[in-house]
Amino acid sequence: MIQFIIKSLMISVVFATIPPWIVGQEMVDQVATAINYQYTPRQGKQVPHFDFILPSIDGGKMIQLSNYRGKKVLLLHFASW
Amino acid sequence: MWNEKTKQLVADGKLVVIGVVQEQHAERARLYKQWKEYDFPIAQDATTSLGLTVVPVPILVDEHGYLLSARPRVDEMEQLVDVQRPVPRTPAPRLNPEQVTSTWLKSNVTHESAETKCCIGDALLREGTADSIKESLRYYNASMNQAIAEENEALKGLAAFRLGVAYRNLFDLVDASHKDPGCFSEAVKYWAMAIELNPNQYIWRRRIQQYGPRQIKPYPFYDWVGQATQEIMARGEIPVKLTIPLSGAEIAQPNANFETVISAEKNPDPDGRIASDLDRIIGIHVTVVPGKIVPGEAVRVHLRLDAENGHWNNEAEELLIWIDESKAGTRSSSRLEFSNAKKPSSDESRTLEFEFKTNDDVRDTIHLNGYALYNVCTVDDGQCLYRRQDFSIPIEIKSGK
Repeated sequence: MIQFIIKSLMISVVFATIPPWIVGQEMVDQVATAINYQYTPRQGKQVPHFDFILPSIDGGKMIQLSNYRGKKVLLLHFASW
Repeated sequence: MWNEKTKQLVADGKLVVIGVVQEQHAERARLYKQWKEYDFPIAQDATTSLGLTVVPVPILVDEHGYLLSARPRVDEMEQLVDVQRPVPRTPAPRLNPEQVTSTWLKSNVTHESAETKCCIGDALLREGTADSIKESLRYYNASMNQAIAEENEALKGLAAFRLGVAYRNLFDLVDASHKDPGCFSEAVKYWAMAIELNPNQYIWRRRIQQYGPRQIKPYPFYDWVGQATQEIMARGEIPVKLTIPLSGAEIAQPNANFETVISAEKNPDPDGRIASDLDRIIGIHVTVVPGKIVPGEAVRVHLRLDAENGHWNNEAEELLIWIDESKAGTRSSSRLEFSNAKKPSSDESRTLEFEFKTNDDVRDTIHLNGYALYNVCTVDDGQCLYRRQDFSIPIEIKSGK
Protein backbone atom coordinates (compact mmCIF):
# COMPACT_ATOMS: atom_id res chain seq x y z
CA MET A 1 0.00 0.00 0.00
CA ILE A 2 2.81 2.40 0.94
CA GLN A 3 4.60 1.49 -2.26
CA PHE A 4 1.43 2.20 -4.23
CA ILE A 5 1.05 5.63 -2.63
CA ILE A 6 4.70 6.50 -3.27
CA LYS A 7 4.40 5.36 -6.87
CA SER A 8 1.21 7.38 -7.39
CA LEU A 9 2.86 10.44 -5.91
CA MET A 10 5.87 9.98 -8.16
CA ILE A 11 3.68 9.75 -11.23
CA SER A 12 1.71 12.83 -10.32
CA VAL A 13 4.84 14.81 -9.53
CA VAL A 14 6.48 13.79 -12.76
CA PHE A 15 3.41 14.62 -14.77
CA ALA A 16 3.05 17.95 -13.09
CA THR A 17 6.39 18.83 -14.62
CA ILE A 18 6.20 17.05 -17.93
CA PRO A 19 3.48 18.51 -19.79
CA PRO A 20 3.63 16.92 -23.26
CA TRP A 21 0.40 15.11 -22.53
CA ILE A 22 -1.21 17.18 -19.87
CA VAL A 23 -0.75 20.45 -21.69
CA GLY A 24 -1.35 18.67 -24.95
CA GLN A 25 -4.68 17.46 -23.70
CA GLU A 26 -5.70 20.95 -22.73
CA MET A 27 -4.91 22.05 -26.24
CA VAL A 28 -6.90 19.18 -27.67
CA ASP A 29 -9.88 20.13 -25.58
CA GLN A 30 -9.69 23.74 -26.62
CA VAL A 31 -9.26 22.94 -30.26
CA ALA A 32 -12.11 20.46 -30.11
CA THR A 33 -14.20 23.16 -28.49
CA ALA A 34 -13.23 25.58 -31.19
CA ILE A 35 -14.18 23.22 -33.94
CA ASN A 36 -17.41 22.05 -32.42
CA TYR A 37 -18.76 25.18 -30.90
CA GLN A 38 -17.03 28.02 -32.74
CA TYR A 39 -15.33 29.12 -29.54
CA THR A 40 -14.67 32.81 -29.21
CA PRO A 41 -12.36 34.10 -26.51
CA ARG A 42 -14.02 35.97 -23.66
CA GLN A 43 -12.04 38.74 -22.10
CA GLY A 44 -11.09 38.18 -18.50
CA LYS A 45 -11.88 34.50 -18.61
CA GLN A 46 -9.17 32.23 -17.29
CA VAL A 47 -8.02 30.16 -20.22
CA PRO A 48 -5.70 27.17 -20.33
CA HIS A 49 -1.99 27.44 -20.73
CA PHE A 50 0.47 25.09 -22.29
CA ASP A 51 4.00 24.56 -23.46
CA PHE A 52 5.58 22.19 -25.95
CA ILE A 53 8.98 21.29 -27.27
CA LEU A 54 9.13 19.84 -30.77
CA PRO A 55 11.94 19.46 -33.30
CA SER A 56 12.37 22.12 -35.94
CA ILE A 57 11.90 20.89 -39.50
CA ASP A 58 15.23 22.53 -40.24
CA GLY A 59 16.99 19.89 -38.16
CA GLY A 60 19.06 20.01 -35.03
CA LYS A 61 17.36 22.52 -32.82
CA MET A 62 14.11 22.25 -30.89
CA ILE A 63 11.30 24.78 -30.86
CA GLN A 64 9.82 25.56 -27.45
CA LEU A 65 6.67 27.63 -27.18
CA SER A 66 7.51 29.12 -23.78
CA ASN A 67 10.71 30.65 -25.19
CA TYR A 68 8.44 33.25 -26.75
CA ARG A 69 6.81 34.40 -23.49
CA GLY A 70 6.36 38.12 -23.47
CA LYS A 71 4.94 38.15 -26.99
CA LYS A 72 1.69 36.95 -28.43
CA VAL A 73 2.26 33.80 -30.43
CA LEU A 74 0.18 32.57 -33.33
CA LEU A 75 0.53 28.81 -33.66
CA LEU A 76 -0.30 27.74 -37.18
CA HIS A 77 -1.06 24.04 -37.23
CA PHE A 78 -0.98 22.89 -40.83
CA ALA A 79 0.07 20.08 -43.13
CA SER A 80 2.22 20.08 -46.23
CA TRP A 81 0.07 17.42 -47.91
CA MET B 1 -2.82 33.43 -46.27
CA TRP B 2 -1.85 33.69 -42.59
CA ASN B 3 1.74 34.44 -43.49
CA GLU B 4 0.75 37.45 -45.63
CA LYS B 5 -1.88 38.74 -43.23
CA THR B 6 0.34 38.61 -40.18
CA LYS B 7 3.57 39.91 -41.72
CA GLN B 8 2.94 43.49 -40.61
CA LEU B 9 2.01 42.45 -37.06
CA VAL B 10 5.24 40.45 -36.86
CA ALA B 11 7.24 43.35 -38.30
CA ASP B 12 5.68 45.67 -35.70
CA GLY B 13 6.82 43.33 -32.94
CA LYS B 14 3.26 42.57 -31.85
CA LEU B 15 3.22 38.93 -32.82
CA VAL B 16 5.39 35.87 -33.26
CA VAL B 17 4.30 33.13 -35.67
CA ILE B 18 5.28 29.50 -35.16
CA GLY B 19 4.20 26.79 -37.57
CA VAL B 20 3.49 23.25 -36.38
CA VAL B 21 3.37 20.85 -39.29
CA GLN B 22 1.68 17.47 -39.18
CA GLU B 23 4.19 15.75 -41.40
CA GLN B 24 6.21 12.59 -41.13
CA HIS B 25 8.92 13.67 -43.58
CA ALA B 26 10.55 16.89 -42.38
CA GLU B 27 12.30 17.44 -45.71
CA ARG B 28 8.94 17.75 -47.47
CA ALA B 29 7.90 20.43 -45.00
CA ARG B 30 11.24 22.17 -45.58
CA LEU B 31 10.60 22.22 -49.33
CA TYR B 32 7.08 23.55 -48.72
CA LYS B 33 8.46 26.26 -46.45
CA GLN B 34 11.07 27.23 -49.04
CA TRP B 35 8.46 27.32 -51.81
CA LYS B 36 6.01 29.45 -49.82
CA GLU B 37 8.88 31.59 -48.49
CA TYR B 38 7.69 31.22 -44.93
CA ASP B 39 10.01 33.14 -42.66
CA PHE B 40 8.74 31.78 -39.35
CA PRO B 41 10.08 28.73 -37.51
CA ILE B 42 8.23 25.47 -38.10
CA ALA B 43 8.07 22.58 -35.64
CA GLN B 44 7.37 19.01 -36.71
CA ASP B 45 4.71 16.97 -34.94
CA ALA B 46 5.11 13.61 -36.66
CA THR B 47 3.01 11.63 -34.19
CA THR B 48 0.13 14.06 -33.53
CA SER B 49 1.58 14.39 -30.04
CA LEU B 50 -0.21 17.70 -29.47
CA GLY B 51 -3.44 15.84 -29.98
CA LEU B 52 -4.77 17.67 -33.02
CA THR B 53 -7.26 15.75 -35.09
CA VAL B 54 -7.63 18.23 -37.94
CA VAL B 55 -5.61 20.86 -39.77
CA PRO B 56 -5.35 23.73 -40.42
CA VAL B 57 -5.92 25.15 -36.95
CA PRO B 58 -4.61 28.54 -35.80
CA ILE B 59 -4.20 29.07 -32.05
CA LEU B 60 -3.32 32.38 -30.46
CA VAL B 61 -1.38 32.37 -27.18
CA ASP B 62 -0.95 35.50 -25.08
CA GLU B 63 2.31 36.88 -23.73
CA HIS B 64 1.84 34.99 -20.45
CA GLY B 65 1.55 31.60 -22.16
CA TYR B 66 -2.21 31.42 -21.82
CA LEU B 67 -4.58 30.58 -24.63
CA LEU B 68 -6.10 33.74 -26.06
CA SER B 69 -8.06 32.29 -28.94
CA ALA B 70 -8.36 28.70 -30.05
CA ARG B 71 -9.41 29.58 -33.55
CA PRO B 72 -8.93 33.24 -34.36
CA ARG B 73 -10.07 34.62 -37.68
CA VAL B 74 -7.57 36.46 -39.85
CA ASP B 75 -9.66 39.63 -39.77
CA GLU B 76 -9.70 39.79 -35.97
CA MET B 77 -5.95 39.38 -35.48
CA GLU B 78 -5.19 43.10 -35.33
CA GLN B 79 -7.71 43.49 -32.54
CA LEU B 80 -6.56 40.36 -30.69
CA VAL B 81 -2.88 41.29 -30.60
CA ASP B 82 -3.80 44.51 -28.80
CA VAL B 83 -5.70 42.71 -26.04
CA GLN B 84 -4.03 43.45 -22.70
CA ARG B 85 -4.32 40.85 -20.00
CA PRO B 86 -3.15 41.07 -16.39
CA VAL B 87 -0.29 38.89 -15.25
CA PRO B 88 -1.94 35.59 -14.20
CA ARG B 89 -1.73 34.48 -10.59
CA THR B 90 -0.57 31.06 -11.74
CA PRO B 91 2.33 31.27 -14.19
CA ALA B 92 1.98 29.08 -17.24
CA PRO B 93 4.18 25.98 -17.08
CA ARG B 94 7.54 25.95 -18.73
CA LEU B 95 9.09 22.68 -19.82
CA ASN B 96 12.69 21.91 -19.17
CA PRO B 97 14.14 20.76 -22.52
CA GLU B 98 15.89 17.92 -20.76
CA GLN B 99 12.51 16.51 -19.73
CA VAL B 100 11.55 15.59 -23.26
CA THR B 101 14.66 13.54 -23.92
CA SER B 102 14.45 9.76 -23.75
CA THR B 103 17.40 9.61 -21.35
CA TRP B 104 15.72 11.84 -18.80
CA LEU B 105 12.32 10.27 -19.21
CA LYS B 106 13.59 6.72 -18.88
CA SER B 107 15.48 7.47 -15.71
CA ASN B 108 12.96 9.76 -14.04
CA VAL B 109 9.52 8.57 -15.02
CA THR B 110 7.95 5.45 -13.67
CA HIS B 111 6.69 3.49 -16.66
CA GLU B 112 3.29 2.93 -15.23
CA SER B 113 0.91 4.51 -17.68
CA ALA B 114 0.25 3.95 -21.36
CA GLU B 115 0.70 7.71 -21.93
CA THR B 116 4.13 7.69 -20.32
CA LYS B 117 5.24 4.87 -22.55
CA CYS B 118 4.05 6.81 -25.60
CA CYS B 119 5.95 9.84 -24.28
CA ILE B 120 9.20 7.90 -24.12
CA GLY B 121 8.48 6.35 -27.51
CA ASP B 122 8.04 9.84 -29.01
CA ALA B 123 11.34 11.00 -27.53
CA LEU B 124 13.11 7.96 -28.98
CA LEU B 125 11.46 8.42 -32.35
CA ARG B 126 12.65 12.03 -32.48
CA GLU B 127 16.23 10.84 -32.05
CA GLY B 128 15.83 9.25 -35.47
CA THR B 129 18.51 6.52 -35.43
CA ALA B 130 17.67 2.95 -36.41
CA ASP B 131 18.26 1.79 -32.85
CA SER B 132 16.20 4.53 -31.24
CA ILE B 133 13.30 3.96 -33.65
CA LYS B 134 13.37 0.24 -32.89
CA GLU B 135 13.38 1.01 -29.19
CA SER B 136 10.42 3.37 -29.69
CA LEU B 137 8.52 0.41 -31.14
CA ARG B 138 9.00 -1.44 -27.86
CA TYR B 139 7.56 1.44 -25.85
CA TYR B 140 4.65 1.94 -28.23
CA ASN B 141 3.90 -1.78 -28.16
CA ALA B 142 4.00 -1.75 -24.37
CA SER B 143 1.68 1.25 -24.40
CA MET B 144 -0.69 -0.57 -26.74
CA ASN B 145 -0.70 -3.70 -24.56
CA GLN B 146 -1.46 -1.63 -21.49
CA ALA B 147 -4.25 0.24 -23.27
CA ILE B 148 -5.72 -3.11 -24.34
CA ALA B 149 -5.52 -4.40 -20.77
CA GLU B 150 -7.23 -1.26 -19.49
CA GLU B 151 -9.77 -1.40 -22.35
CA ASN B 152 -8.86 2.18 -23.22
CA GLU B 153 -9.65 2.54 -26.92
CA ALA B 154 -8.41 6.15 -27.13
CA LEU B 155 -4.96 5.28 -25.85
CA LYS B 156 -4.86 2.19 -28.01
CA GLY B 157 -5.46 4.43 -31.02
CA LEU B 158 -2.67 6.82 -30.00
CA ALA B 159 -0.23 3.93 -29.66
CA ALA B 160 -1.37 2.33 -32.93
CA PHE B 161 -0.86 5.53 -34.94
CA ARG B 162 2.59 6.00 -33.44
CA LEU B 163 3.52 2.41 -34.25
CA GLY B 164 2.58 3.16 -37.86
CA VAL B 165 4.77 6.26 -37.89
CA ALA B 166 7.72 4.42 -36.34
CA TYR B 167 7.47 1.51 -38.79
CA ARG B 168 7.28 3.89 -41.73
CA ASN B 169 10.35 5.73 -40.37
CA LEU B 170 12.22 2.42 -40.34
CA PHE B 171 11.11 1.75 -43.90
CA ASP B 172 12.42 5.16 -44.96
CA LEU B 173 15.85 4.80 -43.37
CA VAL B 174 18.44 5.58 -45.99
CA ASP B 175 21.11 3.42 -44.36
CA ALA B 176 20.95 0.14 -46.28
CA SER B 177 22.22 -1.90 -43.32
CA HIS B 178 18.91 -1.25 -41.57
CA LYS B 179 16.74 -1.73 -44.63
CA ASP B 180 13.57 -3.55 -43.69
CA PRO B 181 11.04 -3.36 -46.51
CA GLY B 182 8.41 -5.26 -44.51
CA CYS B 183 8.01 -2.25 -42.25
CA PHE B 184 5.74 -0.42 -44.69
CA SER B 185 3.11 -3.16 -44.43
CA GLU B 186 3.36 -2.98 -40.64
CA ALA B 187 2.86 0.78 -40.79
CA VAL B 188 -0.25 0.40 -42.93
CA LYS B 189 -1.61 -2.24 -40.56
CA TYR B 190 -1.25 0.00 -37.51
CA TRP B 191 -2.58 3.12 -39.23
CA ALA B 192 -5.65 1.15 -40.26
CA MET B 193 -6.06 -0.01 -36.67
CA ALA B 194 -5.75 3.55 -35.40
CA ILE B 195 -8.41 4.94 -37.71
CA GLU B 196 -10.68 2.01 -36.89
CA LEU B 197 -10.40 3.01 -33.22
CA ASN B 198 -10.94 6.69 -33.90
CA PRO B 199 -12.69 7.22 -37.23
CA ASN B 200 -12.92 10.97 -36.62
CA GLN B 201 -9.16 11.45 -36.58
CA TYR B 202 -8.77 13.28 -39.86
CA ILE B 203 -4.97 13.38 -39.74
CA TRP B 204 -4.70 9.63 -39.21
CA ARG B 205 -7.21 8.95 -42.00
CA ARG B 206 -5.12 10.98 -44.42
CA ARG B 207 -2.14 8.71 -43.80
CA ILE B 208 -3.91 5.71 -45.33
CA GLN B 209 -5.29 7.83 -48.17
CA GLN B 210 -1.80 9.16 -48.88
CA TYR B 211 -0.63 5.72 -49.94
CA GLY B 212 -3.96 4.23 -50.95
CA PRO B 213 -5.89 3.85 -54.22
CA ARG B 214 -7.12 6.88 -56.14
CA GLN B 215 -10.73 6.09 -55.29
CA ILE B 216 -10.27 6.96 -51.62
CA LYS B 217 -8.06 10.01 -52.09
CA PRO B 218 -9.62 13.38 -51.31
CA TYR B 219 -6.87 15.19 -53.25
CA PRO B 220 -3.37 14.52 -54.58
CA PHE B 221 -1.16 14.90 -51.55
CA TYR B 222 2.17 16.03 -52.95
CA ASP B 223 1.42 17.11 -56.50
CA TRP B 224 2.72 20.54 -55.49
CA VAL B 225 6.29 19.24 -55.27
CA GLY B 226 6.97 19.49 -59.02
CA GLN B 227 5.60 23.02 -59.26
CA ALA B 228 7.41 24.06 -56.09
CA THR B 229 10.73 22.74 -57.38
CA GLN B 230 10.37 24.59 -60.69
CA GLU B 231 9.37 27.86 -59.06
CA ILE B 232 12.19 27.70 -56.52
CA MET B 233 14.72 27.06 -59.29
CA ALA B 234 13.25 29.93 -61.32
CA ARG B 235 14.03 32.17 -58.34
CA GLY B 236 17.64 31.08 -58.62
CA GLU B 237 17.56 28.97 -55.47
CA ILE B 238 18.42 25.32 -54.97
CA PRO B 239 15.30 23.43 -53.86
CA VAL B 240 15.42 21.22 -50.77
CA LYS B 241 16.33 17.75 -52.01
CA LEU B 242 13.90 14.97 -51.16
CA THR B 243 15.94 11.93 -50.16
CA ILE B 244 12.81 9.85 -49.60
CA PRO B 245 11.17 9.69 -53.02
CA LEU B 246 7.47 10.34 -53.43
CA SER B 247 5.49 7.24 -54.22
CA GLY B 248 3.14 7.22 -57.20
CA ALA B 249 0.19 7.18 -54.80
CA GLU B 250 1.35 10.43 -53.22
CA ILE B 251 1.12 12.40 -56.46
CA ALA B 252 -1.75 10.58 -58.18
CA GLN B 253 -4.94 12.51 -58.84
CA PRO B 254 -8.06 11.25 -57.08
CA ASN B 255 -10.43 9.36 -59.32
CA ALA B 256 -13.74 7.93 -58.18
CA ASN B 257 -13.93 5.79 -61.31
CA PHE B 258 -11.51 2.92 -61.44
CA GLU B 259 -9.44 3.20 -64.59
CA THR B 260 -7.69 0.35 -66.23
CA VAL B 261 -4.94 0.43 -68.85
CA ILE B 262 -4.31 -3.04 -70.13
CA SER B 263 -1.25 -3.21 -72.32
CA ALA B 264 -1.69 -4.22 -75.90
CA GLU B 265 1.42 -6.25 -75.44
CA LYS B 266 0.94 -9.85 -74.55
CA ASN B 267 2.29 -11.70 -71.56
CA PRO B 268 6.04 -11.68 -72.26
CA ASP B 269 6.74 -15.06 -70.70
CA PRO B 270 3.46 -17.03 -70.53
CA ASP B 271 5.14 -20.40 -70.23
CA GLY B 272 7.77 -19.42 -67.67
CA ARG B 273 10.72 -20.04 -69.97
CA ILE B 274 12.93 -17.35 -68.44
CA ALA B 275 15.11 -18.87 -65.70
CA SER B 276 13.98 -18.16 -62.14
CA ASP B 277 16.01 -16.05 -59.75
CA LEU B 278 16.57 -18.93 -57.36
CA ASP B 279 19.35 -17.09 -55.49
CA ARG B 280 17.08 -14.16 -54.72
CA ILE B 281 19.45 -11.64 -56.25
CA ILE B 282 16.48 -9.32 -56.19
CA GLY B 283 14.12 -9.16 -53.20
CA ILE B 284 10.49 -8.32 -53.98
CA HIS B 285 8.50 -6.72 -51.15
CA VAL B 286 4.81 -5.98 -51.34
CA THR B 287 2.62 -3.55 -49.40
CA VAL B 288 -1.11 -3.42 -50.01
CA VAL B 289 -2.99 -0.24 -49.00
CA PRO B 290 -5.41 -0.42 -47.29
CA GLY B 291 -4.45 -3.68 -45.65
CA LYS B 292 -8.06 -4.91 -45.63
CA ILE B 293 -11.01 -3.92 -47.79
CA VAL B 294 -14.66 -4.82 -48.20
CA PRO B 295 -15.74 -6.55 -51.44
CA GLY B 296 -15.96 -4.12 -54.35
CA GLU B 297 -13.28 -1.76 -53.05
CA ALA B 298 -9.86 -1.11 -54.56
CA VAL B 299 -6.35 -1.38 -53.15
CA ARG B 300 -3.08 0.16 -54.22
CA VAL B 301 -0.22 -2.31 -54.42
CA HIS B 302 3.28 -1.01 -53.74
CA LEU B 303 6.03 -3.26 -55.09
CA ARG B 304 9.55 -2.60 -53.96
CA LEU B 305 12.42 -4.45 -55.58
CA ASP B 306 15.77 -4.36 -53.82
CA ALA B 307 19.09 -5.48 -55.27
CA GLU B 308 19.92 -7.67 -52.29
CA ASN B 309 22.58 -9.96 -53.70
CA GLY B 310 23.68 -8.23 -56.87
CA HIS B 311 23.34 -5.09 -58.97
CA TRP B 312 20.89 -3.90 -61.57
CA ASN B 313 22.37 -4.27 -65.03
CA ASN B 314 21.37 -1.04 -66.76
CA GLU B 315 22.90 -1.94 -70.11
CA ALA B 316 20.11 -4.38 -70.96
CA GLU B 317 16.29 -4.43 -71.05
CA GLU B 318 14.41 -2.52 -68.39
CA LEU B 319 12.78 -4.06 -65.34
CA LEU B 320 9.33 -5.33 -66.27
CA ILE B 321 6.45 -6.41 -64.04
CA TRP B 322 3.57 -8.46 -65.39
CA ILE B 323 0.30 -8.78 -63.47
CA ASP B 324 -1.87 -11.75 -64.40
CA GLU B 325 -5.56 -11.36 -65.10
CA SER B 326 -7.72 -12.30 -62.09
CA LYS B 327 -11.30 -13.50 -61.74
CA ALA B 328 -11.49 -11.67 -58.41
CA GLY B 329 -11.38 -8.20 -59.94
CA THR B 330 -9.74 -5.76 -62.32
CA ARG B 331 -6.12 -4.56 -62.37
CA SER B 332 -5.31 -0.97 -63.32
CA SER B 333 -2.37 -2.16 -65.42
CA SER B 334 -1.10 -5.47 -66.67
CA ARG B 335 2.44 -4.33 -67.37
CA LEU B 336 4.71 -1.97 -65.42
CA GLU B 337 8.20 -0.86 -66.42
CA PHE B 338 11.01 0.85 -64.55
CA SER B 339 13.53 2.92 -66.48
CA ASN B 340 17.16 1.96 -66.05
CA ALA B 341 19.49 4.29 -64.20
CA LYS B 342 21.87 6.25 -66.41
CA LYS B 343 24.96 4.27 -65.43
CA PRO B 344 26.08 0.73 -66.27
CA SER B 345 24.98 -0.75 -62.95
CA SER B 346 23.22 0.45 -59.82
CA ASP B 347 21.84 -0.76 -56.48
CA GLU B 348 18.80 1.43 -55.88
CA SER B 349 15.44 0.23 -54.58
CA ARG B 350 12.90 0.27 -57.39
CA THR B 351 9.26 0.88 -56.60
CA LEU B 352 6.30 0.31 -58.86
CA GLU B 353 2.61 0.62 -58.10
CA PHE B 354 -0.71 -0.43 -59.51
CA GLU B 355 -4.28 -0.71 -58.29
CA PHE B 356 -6.72 -3.58 -58.14
CA LYS B 357 -10.48 -3.29 -57.78
CA THR B 358 -12.15 -6.33 -56.34
CA ASN B 359 -15.46 -7.76 -57.48
CA ASP B 360 -18.50 -7.49 -55.21
CA ASP B 361 -18.58 -11.21 -54.54
CA VAL B 362 -15.02 -11.80 -53.32
CA ARG B 363 -14.50 -13.44 -49.92
CA ASP B 364 -11.65 -14.07 -47.46
CA THR B 365 -8.21 -13.57 -48.99
CA ILE B 366 -7.63 -13.38 -52.71
CA HIS B 367 -4.28 -13.72 -54.43
CA LEU B 368 -3.02 -11.69 -57.34
CA ASN B 369 -0.27 -13.36 -59.30
CA GLY B 370 2.46 -11.88 -61.41
CA TYR B 371 6.16 -11.87 -62.04
CA ALA B 372 9.15 -9.61 -62.57
CA LEU B 373 11.71 -9.87 -65.38
CA TYR B 374 15.03 -8.15 -64.81
CA ASN B 375 18.69 -7.96 -65.73
CA VAL B 376 21.13 -8.30 -62.87
CA CYS B 377 24.79 -8.97 -62.25
CA THR B 378 25.89 -11.09 -59.31
CA VAL B 379 28.15 -9.75 -56.58
CA ASP B 380 30.42 -12.81 -56.39
CA ASP B 381 31.57 -13.28 -59.96
CA GLY B 382 30.00 -10.31 -61.75
CA GLN B 383 28.04 -12.62 -64.02
CA CYS B 384 25.14 -10.82 -65.69
CA LEU B 385 21.85 -12.67 -65.92
CA TYR B 386 18.28 -12.22 -67.16
CA ARG B 387 15.98 -13.57 -64.50
CA ARG B 388 12.31 -14.04 -63.61
CA GLN B 389 10.74 -13.98 -60.19
CA ASP B 390 7.12 -14.90 -59.58
CA PHE B 391 5.07 -13.38 -56.78
CA SER B 392 1.64 -13.78 -55.27
CA ILE B 393 0.01 -10.77 -53.59
CA PRO B 394 -2.53 -11.54 -50.88
CA ILE B 395 -5.43 -9.09 -50.58
CA GLU B 396 -7.44 -9.48 -47.43
CA ILE B 397 -11.19 -9.03 -47.63
CA LYS B 398 -13.32 -8.00 -44.67
CA SER B 399 -16.44 -10.02 -44.18
CA GLY B 400 -19.69 -8.25 -45.10
CA LYS B 401 -20.14 -4.90 -46.79
